[in-house]
Amino acid sequence: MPWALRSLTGKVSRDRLAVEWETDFRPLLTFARALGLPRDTVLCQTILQRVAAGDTSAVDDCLAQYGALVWSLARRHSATYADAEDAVQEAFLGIWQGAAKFDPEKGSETTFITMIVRRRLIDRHRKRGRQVETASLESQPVALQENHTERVAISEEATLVRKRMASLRPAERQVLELAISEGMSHSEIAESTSMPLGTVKTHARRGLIRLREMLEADSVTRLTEAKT
Amino acid sequence: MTTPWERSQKRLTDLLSDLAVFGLNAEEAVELRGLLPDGWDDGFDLLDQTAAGCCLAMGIDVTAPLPYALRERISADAKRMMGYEPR
Repeated sequence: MPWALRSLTGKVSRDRLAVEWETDFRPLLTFARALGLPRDTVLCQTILQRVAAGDTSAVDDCLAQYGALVWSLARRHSATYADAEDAVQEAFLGIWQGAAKFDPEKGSETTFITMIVRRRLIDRHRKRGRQVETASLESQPVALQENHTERVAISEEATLVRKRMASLRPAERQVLELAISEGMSHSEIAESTSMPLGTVKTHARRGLIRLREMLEADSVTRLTEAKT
Repeated sequence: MTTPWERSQKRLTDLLSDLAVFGLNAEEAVELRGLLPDGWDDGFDLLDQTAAGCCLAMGIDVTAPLPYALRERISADAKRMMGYEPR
């Protein structure tokens, strides 16, 4: 099975199998589709679907599951500790508001949450026009939690992306890494790499589109394999 | 020779890529809205998903937990927003 199955609890009620799966249940949906079962045969509920349904306990589950991920992204894109705190609050507001848009067939919950958080952080960064400064944050003390576990499962999807990123041209990979991982703007990348601004944009666009195409091809292959 | 439709599709893809990687300025955001087909969900594009996948693939240090007080504040705000009243 190409996707890791982390935690699965299920119960049969009448003709429907109700399943709760922590983050990524696409293998199950793919399996059901390969068997020719109608989509609603398998009823799955992710944390975000529970949030969207108004289940308040899902809020704490979401914070426990993804709190460290969001905090890490926010710190990376914030100049100060207070700024990171504000960014996290904004990011989670975006998560609650966007929860209903999550479709587990399109991607994992981790990736969806990362999308929302990145979008919020980029908008925030653009509005403030600040340089990304992470060094000052790394030395900030972090309040320890008791009786709370932080666990972020980096998705299987990310593993595939990492593999495919290796196939990109070096300049495309470099620009994507600086932009996405370091949070640098195109002008900052142009300055640090001595590439013309237009070239930076072109590398980012081409790299991202090529990556998307490779991942789509992988997805088709997986679906074909599941059917056979 | 490219047609106007092909040019607008190319521009649309460029803007969606820029949005996913760098974000857009106000002018570009207006241009994107003008190019998007009717009924387009303002949610997330596949390119956004790819950029998020890149972000995760490059590794994220999740050893530092979300500070407890902040987490409690976010939780309380969210539950209030969802109409939950603690007993």
